[in-house]
Formats: sequence, C-alpha cells, structure tokens
Amino acid sequence: MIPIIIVLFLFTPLAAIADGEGIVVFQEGDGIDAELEQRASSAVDIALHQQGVENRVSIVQNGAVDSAAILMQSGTGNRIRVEQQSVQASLMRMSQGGEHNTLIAAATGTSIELELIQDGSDNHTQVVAVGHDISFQANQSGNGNELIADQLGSGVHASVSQFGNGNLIEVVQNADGAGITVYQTANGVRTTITQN
Amino acid sequence: MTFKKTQLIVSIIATMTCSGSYAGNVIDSNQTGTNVTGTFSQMTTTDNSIVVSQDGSDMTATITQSNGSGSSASLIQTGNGNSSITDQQGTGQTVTLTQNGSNDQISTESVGDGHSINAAQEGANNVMDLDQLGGSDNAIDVTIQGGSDNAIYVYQQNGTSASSITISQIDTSNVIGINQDGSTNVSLNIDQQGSSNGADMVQTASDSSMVLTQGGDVNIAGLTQSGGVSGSAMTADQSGDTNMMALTQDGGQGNTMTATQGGQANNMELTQTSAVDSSMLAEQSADVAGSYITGTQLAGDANAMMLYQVNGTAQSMIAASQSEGTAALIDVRQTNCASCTVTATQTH
Repeated sequence: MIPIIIVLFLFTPLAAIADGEGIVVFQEGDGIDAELEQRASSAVDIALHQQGVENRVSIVQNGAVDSAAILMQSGTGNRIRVEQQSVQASLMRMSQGGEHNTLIAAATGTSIELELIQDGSDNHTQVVAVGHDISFQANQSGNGNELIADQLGSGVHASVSQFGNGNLIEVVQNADGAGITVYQTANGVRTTITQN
Repeated sequence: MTFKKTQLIVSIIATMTCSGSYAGNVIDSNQTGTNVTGTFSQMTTTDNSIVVSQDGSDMTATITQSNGSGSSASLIQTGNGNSSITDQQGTGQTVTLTQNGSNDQISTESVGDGHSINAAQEGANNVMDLDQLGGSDNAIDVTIQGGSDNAIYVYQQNGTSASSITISQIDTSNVIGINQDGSTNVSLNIDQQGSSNGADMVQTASDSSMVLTQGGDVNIAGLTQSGGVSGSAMTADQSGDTNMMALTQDGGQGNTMTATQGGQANNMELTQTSAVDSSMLAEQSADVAGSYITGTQLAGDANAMMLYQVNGTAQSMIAASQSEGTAALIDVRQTNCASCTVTATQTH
C-alpha cells in the first residue's frame, strides 16, 4: 500500500490536462486562496498545485460528465474543499503533504471515484457522497489523523488505510450494496463503521 | 528700434501661391516675427517640394499639395502658439513637420496611397492631429514628442491597408488617441515614457498588429481590436507602479493578446469576445504586490487563457472567466505569493 501512496503523491496535477481543456492552477506562497468553478455538460478538468502554508482551495464542478478534479497541496495548515455536483463518470483526486491540513470532498451523482491522500500528522479528511456507484479510497500516513465519511445512495464502496498512531476512522454508509475495507496499522487507533 | 524689433511688433501676412500642372517646382520660405501667416500651395504637381521655416510666435503655416505624386513638404516652426495645417492628396506624398515650443498645433490630412507623415514636437501643451484617409501603404511616424500635457490624435481610416503608425512620446501627462480603421495588414507601434500618460488605441483590420510600451508610473492604456478581425495580435507592456491596461478583442479567429507588467499595484484587464482559436497571455512579474489580472473569454471555442503572477506577489489577485465556449483552457500561476487569490470560472 505504501508504494501506491508514494506514486500517487508524486503525480503532477498540472500534467493532467493534456488536451488543452479545463482549468490549470499553480500557486506558491503563504495565505493564498483559490476559488474555482466549472459548470459544463461536457468533459472538463481542473488541475491545481499549491505550495505553502495556510492556503485555501475551494472548487465546484457542476453537471459535468467524464470530468476530473486533480489537486495537490504541500505545506502546513492548508485546506481543500471540492464539491462535484450532479456529475457522472467523474474523478476527484486530492493529495496533501504536511501537517494540520484539511481535505473535504463532497460529491453527488453517478459513477464517481474519489482518491484522497494525506501524508503527515494531525490531518483531517471528510467525505460526503450521495448517489449511485460512488467509491472513495482514502490513505493517511502519520499520527493523529482523522477520517470521517458519510455515504448515501446505492452501490457505494469505501477503502480506507491509515498508517500511524492515534488515528480515527468514522464511516457511515446509508446505502444498498455498500461495502468498506479498512486497513490500520499502529497503536491507539479508533474505528467506527456504521452501515444502515 | 532695430529692424528685427519692428518685425516682432508688426503683423506680417505672407501668401505665396504656385499652381499649375508642373513638375519639379520648389517653394522655399523663411518667416520670422509674430502673428505671421503663410499659405503655400502646389496644385496638380509631381515631384515638387515646399520648404517652410517660421521663427516666432502665433504663426500659422498652411500647406496644400494636391493631385500629384512624389512631392514633399517640410515645415519647421520655432516658438510658442504656432500652428500648421497641411493637406496632401494624390500618391506618394511626404510631409515632415517640426515644432519647437509650447501651445503649438499640428493638423495634417492626406488622402490616397503611399503617403508619409513625419511629425515632431518638443515643448508643453502641444497638440497633433494627423489624418490619413483611404488608400494603402501609408505611414505616420511621430518620432519624439518631449514635454508635458501634450496630445496626439491619429486617424487612419476608410480602407487603409498595409499602413503603419509609429509614435514615441516622452515626459508626463501626455495622451495619445488612435483609430486605425482598415481592411488588412496594418500596424501600430506606440512608446510612451514618463508618468501619468494615457494611450487609447483602436484597430479594425485583420492580420494586423498593435504594440504598446509604457514606462513610468500611473499610466493608463486601452487597446481594442474590433469588428471581427482575424489573425491579429496586440502586445502591451507597462513597467512601473500603479499602471492600468485594458485589452479587448471582439470576434474573429486566431487572434492573440500578450500583456506584461512589472511593478506594484498594477491592474490589467483582458477580454476576448466571440473569438475562436484565440489566446491571451498576461504576466505580472518582479515585485507585483497589490496587482490584479482579470481575464475574460466570452462566447467562443478552442480559446486559451494564461494568467501569471511571478515572483514577489503579495495581496495580488487573478480572476479568470470563460463562458459559452468549448475546448477552452484556463492556466493560472502565482509564485512567491502571500495572501493572494485566484478565482476561476468555466461555463460551457
């Protein structure tokens, strides 16, 4: 699992838009904000790379089909919030490196994949997914990390991995055909999985 | 009382007219004094010349060359409150106008093909009004306008093609207004050095170019290519602080705009409307604290927008917007940034 995490984290989001369509953002510095919004019926992508501390990203993708939001932050005290609204066959891939970072992913629609990576300690990931055939994969490496997720709909699936001490996992799945796989290796971890 | 002093007191009116269907004629006039008027005409002429020198104040020179080709007119006015009026028609006529002083005025008009206007002013509160109407292969060249509170207005209109305008202006509080209305392949090159200057440039011709350079602080520039032009380019550069530029391209295909600013508290607004396969590139570099870039592409396909703030940015902002188009790209970059913001909106 660890080699997979490293490969994903080294992925450069700015190379994701190879066909010259979408939004590409690179920001380097402290206390910076990015607010991105896409409203489209066709395939559109967002790629963002932020470096620094206390940075913020807010993204909304609405109505897109076969689209992707690919984001990477490195630094401390950063925050990413992504909403994919009414999307189909879309991808959300986010990675954060550093401490005290927050990652919030919200998705509604059909056939959505979420890939969430945090490398560092005292980080927080929150997932809210509503729809059909939505799956998320979350990987956290470090101590004192938290993952909180709510899935509502049908055919939902989650795969969560944590490496470190004092980590927390809380997942609620209100769905038909729900599934979850949890992998934790460390001391003092807490896990609560609820399927209704 | 000397003879020269008498000249300064007494008004002189000199009228010299040479007309007819002749070639190789020459008018050479020297006038000194106050409130002097000179009128010089060559009608239906070829390869003729008019050379006028006026030294004094409140002097007026009127030069007319019509219905010929290859003729030239040259005027030098020295002093304050002087004015010149020039009218050339035909083909391949050249006029060279020089004014040294303040509160002077140049007004010149040429109609036809292959005309050339060369004008220079040095002093304050001067005005130039340069018109070239119709035809092709025309040129306007304002080499140096040194001094403050000067104004240059240039019009190349009515079917102009393969024509050019080049202007250099130095000092403060100067303005330039240009309207280049042609069919194809026209060029415009403006250089303003100093502070509190303004330039407004409008071009309606395909496969054309527009270039602006401003050096100094608190300058403002407006560049517009309109009328559905295609294959045209505009380039603007401002170096200094608290400058502003607005670049607009309306319609067409394969157009480009490039804007650069170096300094603090600068602002640039780039807009492409109903364009196809067009691009905009904006870059603010060096210490660009408190600067803004706004990029807008409205109602066009396959467009690209690149907006960059590079090195030393603080409290700067980039706002990008694309709407009603497909296959469009927004590329935004901020480096070494503190408390900076990017907003990007894409609607298809």
